[in-house]
Amino acid sequence: MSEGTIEPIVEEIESIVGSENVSLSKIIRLSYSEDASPFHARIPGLIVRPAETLEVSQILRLANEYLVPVVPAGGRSGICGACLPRVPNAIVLDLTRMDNIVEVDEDSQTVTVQAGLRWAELIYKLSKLGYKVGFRGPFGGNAGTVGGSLSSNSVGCGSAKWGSSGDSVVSLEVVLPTGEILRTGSGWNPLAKKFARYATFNDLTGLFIGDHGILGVKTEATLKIYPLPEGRVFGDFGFNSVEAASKAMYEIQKRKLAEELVLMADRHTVSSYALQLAEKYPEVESVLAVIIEEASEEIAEAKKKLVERIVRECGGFFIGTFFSRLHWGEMFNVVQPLFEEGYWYNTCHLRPITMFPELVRKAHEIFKKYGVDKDPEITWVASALGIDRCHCTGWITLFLKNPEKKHILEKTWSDLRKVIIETGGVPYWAGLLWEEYVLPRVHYGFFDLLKKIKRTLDPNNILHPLVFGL
Amino acid sequence: MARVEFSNVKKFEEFLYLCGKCGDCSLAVKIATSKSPLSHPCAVKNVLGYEAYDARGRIIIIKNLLNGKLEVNDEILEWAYTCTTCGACRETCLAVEGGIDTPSIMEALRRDLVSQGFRIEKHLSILENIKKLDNPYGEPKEERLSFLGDELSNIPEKAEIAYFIGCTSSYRTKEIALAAVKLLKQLGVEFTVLRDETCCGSILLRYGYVDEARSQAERLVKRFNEMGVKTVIFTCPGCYRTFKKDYPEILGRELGFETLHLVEFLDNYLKDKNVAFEAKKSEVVTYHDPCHLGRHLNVYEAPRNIIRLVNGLTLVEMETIKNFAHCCGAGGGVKSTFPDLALKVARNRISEALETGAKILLSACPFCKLNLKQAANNGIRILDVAELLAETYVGEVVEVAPKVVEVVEVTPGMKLMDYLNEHVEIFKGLRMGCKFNYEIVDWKTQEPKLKFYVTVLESGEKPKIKISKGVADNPDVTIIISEPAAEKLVECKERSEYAELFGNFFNEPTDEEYIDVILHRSTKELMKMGYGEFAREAGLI
Ligand SMILES: Cc1cc2nc3c(=O)[nH]c(=O)nc-3n(C[C@H](O)[C@H](O)[C@H](O)COP(=O)(O)OP(=O)(O)OC[C@H]3O[C@@H](n4cnc5c(N)ncnc54)[C@H](O)[C@@H]3O)c2cc1C
Ligand code: SF4
Ligand code: SF4
Repeated sequence: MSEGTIEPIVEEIESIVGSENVSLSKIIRLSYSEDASPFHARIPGLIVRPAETLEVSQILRLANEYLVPVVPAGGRSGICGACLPRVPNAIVLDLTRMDNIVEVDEDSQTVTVQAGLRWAELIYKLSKLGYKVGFRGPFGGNAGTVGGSLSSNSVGCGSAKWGSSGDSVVSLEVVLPTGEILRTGSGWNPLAKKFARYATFNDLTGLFIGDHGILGVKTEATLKIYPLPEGRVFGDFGFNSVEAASKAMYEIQKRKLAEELVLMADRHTVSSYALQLAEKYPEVESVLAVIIEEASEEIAEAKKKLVERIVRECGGFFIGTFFSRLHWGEMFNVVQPLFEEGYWYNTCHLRPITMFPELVRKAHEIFKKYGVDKDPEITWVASALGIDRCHCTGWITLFLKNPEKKHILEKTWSDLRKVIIETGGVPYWAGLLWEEYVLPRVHYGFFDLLKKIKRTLDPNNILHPLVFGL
Repeated sequence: MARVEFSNVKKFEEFLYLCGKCGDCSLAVKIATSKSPLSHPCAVKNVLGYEAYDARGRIIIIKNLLNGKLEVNDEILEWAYTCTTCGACRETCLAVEGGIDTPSIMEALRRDLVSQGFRIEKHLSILENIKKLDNPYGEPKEERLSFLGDELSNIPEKAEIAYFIGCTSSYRTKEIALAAVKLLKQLGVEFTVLRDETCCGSILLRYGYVDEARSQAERLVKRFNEMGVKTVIFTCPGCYRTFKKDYPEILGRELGFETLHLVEFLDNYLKDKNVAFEAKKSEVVTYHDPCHLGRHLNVYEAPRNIIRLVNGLTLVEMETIKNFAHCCGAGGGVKSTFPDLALKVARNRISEALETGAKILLSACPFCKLNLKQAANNGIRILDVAELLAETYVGEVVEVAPKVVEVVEVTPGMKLMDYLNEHVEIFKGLRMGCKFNYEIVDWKTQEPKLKFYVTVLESGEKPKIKISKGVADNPDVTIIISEPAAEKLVECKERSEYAELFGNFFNEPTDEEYIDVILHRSTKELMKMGYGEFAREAGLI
């Protein structure tokens, strides 16, 4: 697409969404050229802020007519560059205006939201009605939207019990690249409520979850809801090795006892969050923070007892509730204070809990190799979050204080990513962060099918071109 | 386009680098997820919609200006003046201590633009007005105090206290100045006003014209010094901020007199007096925090305290308040540069006020009043706190009946207050200036029975502290303690015993005995302030 081809459709798009929601301004476009990652991509050609599904559909039809690329964007809090256009002159759809709660259906215990709603607002509004969602959002849930998270397989708050963001979904409303509107799950029947995901046909919902916005624009999502819990208990447990802490995490997760499980892998990480705690327990290498939420206090207490037993058996001991309470109380505010350590470079991915200690070991070796372990200008946190059955996130994030040391950081960061894939890790989102590491390894059959699906749904390849190399 | 030197902006390069681009400053709602009354902080972005107008977008754009990918043009120039410098983004931001200071970055950018000849046409005429007429409104200089009429002759030429009226209340919201004068007189406060008052230069600073503002500052400070004034009272937070924060910076010296907003002065003045204020009818009111008074100068409780003095009124808070209050849209030069934008921002604030069911929206700023009033379109009454007090003033209440000794029940909260006063070692490790609230609550209803706060005056093994009733302005944390827990804490003989019990109530709370802690700053910042050690001493970690 050559520069300048976008103008002819601007007026038509203005007639769809109103001129105040369309901008060609250079500075406005520039402000959408980054997300929360260190990556830069192409400056968008046009910014459009639709408010309704129908508008999105009309825009996509036009884009097909004029062959203009379109990139959906949510809160742009992604940290892999997923929402950044890879081609020039793309229309970026800023979906954050689509932030209404469409319906709370108490019969089927679901909430239907517009895809641009942010998790923090959803939680707030639901809590006023006495409800919660299972997966509460990524830790960036202040700005992260439901649509953005579902499109990028986000994991985060509540994932220990409720799994990945996609596991909460009952039905999606998606505008296909060619403009048709699709409702998945029991939503195939216009007369039925959206209450079941697996109904009558294939699980088409799954096709769009984690698609990074290349197969359709999610406009609505129906999620499961639950009454607010009456029982909530917290516990932080100290261990003298990451192996012991991971073992406890595994055993707790095996029995699905916790709402949230966070493991701080090494002393460096524990000190980053609370130096005084690290000082108080010089023998503690790792801390496991456990949050239990249940329908009643009795159930929560009973589960806590089980957790305590497991911890004891794994050699851990109770050190208070500071971390777990802070983590839960400051739900989406725990990562940002780390920015002070320097600009952040993440390596977020999934792996079985049992394989987490190996990652930490290898990461320490890499830090040593590049002198990062002794360099106060490049720091890290290494942690893990319990997910679904018995896997976890591997969260090793680097912070670069001194930009002049970028070359050291780049090497460390790159080695880490290589090791992660080599040791059987899989990123949840891909984006510019991961593609060069994962694409060469994708099984042929898998990729071929993805390609065919993309070609079928998006014959003109207008939706987020070049993502996954497609 | 000409090359521009960004020498002022460059002072903030570290901030620009450390912004993690999380988007909180634009999109966050933290009401349920961290118990903070914060929702979509950037009032300007909330109206204009695009990322370019919130802090994250502004930082991205400025970085592109610095690296030369973007050149200064008219669009940039206009954009630079769309920020009200309200500071809500900064309060939201957890990235660095105090938050990434986007308002200062935007002001630095304006200074760089102005110093290199990029000027907005409209601003030049305002500049001219100030130069020629000593006010930005183009009003006759000699009529500045004419609104006071005969009243002026009753105001002494000299006094230890001076009331600085400001341009807006001299020419636009005269009712606020009249109310302030009336009220101060009713209360018997001896004060003066400058017969030759001039613009304080606030608007010049907000536009980026520092040299011009400096000459205003020099003149006014000299005048007050000559008059031997000890305290200057303001009803305009814009002037107040300019005197208190900007003057010492641009003049490079202290002022030589104390500065106070009227609400602070009154809050203090009325404390030990028995003055009654009575509303004509019972009404629900709400209060809008002016950015320059609240976020810029940390005055949150004084206006609320004095509103509560008025019998018959119920103060109902809006959803976003205090440090997270949405801006009214008038500040930072936005009202004069983009009046429509200012009005649209104000309409959003009016909607928030209407949601409380209030019939009166109070503020303590002539600029907010002007803007909110235009936006309210008679939907809700807009009143300055000074007007409210002048309007409801009844007089000093004289005690008629002989004083009977009241039997005051000593509550667990009061006992804890005394206990803390006697056991200051609990606060060891906290930095000077730390401020935190205690709320002693009914264990069942969780309703606060007593609120007090601790201010650390001097740190050390036995720190010097002050315990005051009420709520601190901009506290670091709030500690919630159930009454039964407080009862037990005050029984502790040893510090270790206290720490163990405190820790127990926090870590293993029961229905009746519990402690909770709400953080108002980032964990990293709190640790730096010494709360880590405090938490350890208190048995929390
Ligand atoms: C402080 C912080 C902490 C974080 N913690 C976590 C964490 O714990 N776990 C985690 O997974 N992530 C985390 N992240 C990253 C980010 O918050 C999440 O990935 C989030 O889900 C992204 O949502 P978004 O709306 O910002 O998406 P964006 O970044 O806007 O987009 C993400 C992808 O989704 C696509 N997309 C967006 N909306 C739609 C739509 N409606 N339809 C189709 N495609 C769409 C985009 O094209 C892009 O490919 C964190 C980020 C920050 C800043
Ligand atoms: S909240 Fe702070 S770190 Fe986050 S985007 Fe805004 S300015 Fe940057
Ligand atoms: S100072 Fe206020 S108006 Fe300016 S970017 Fe920050 S929140 Fe928005």
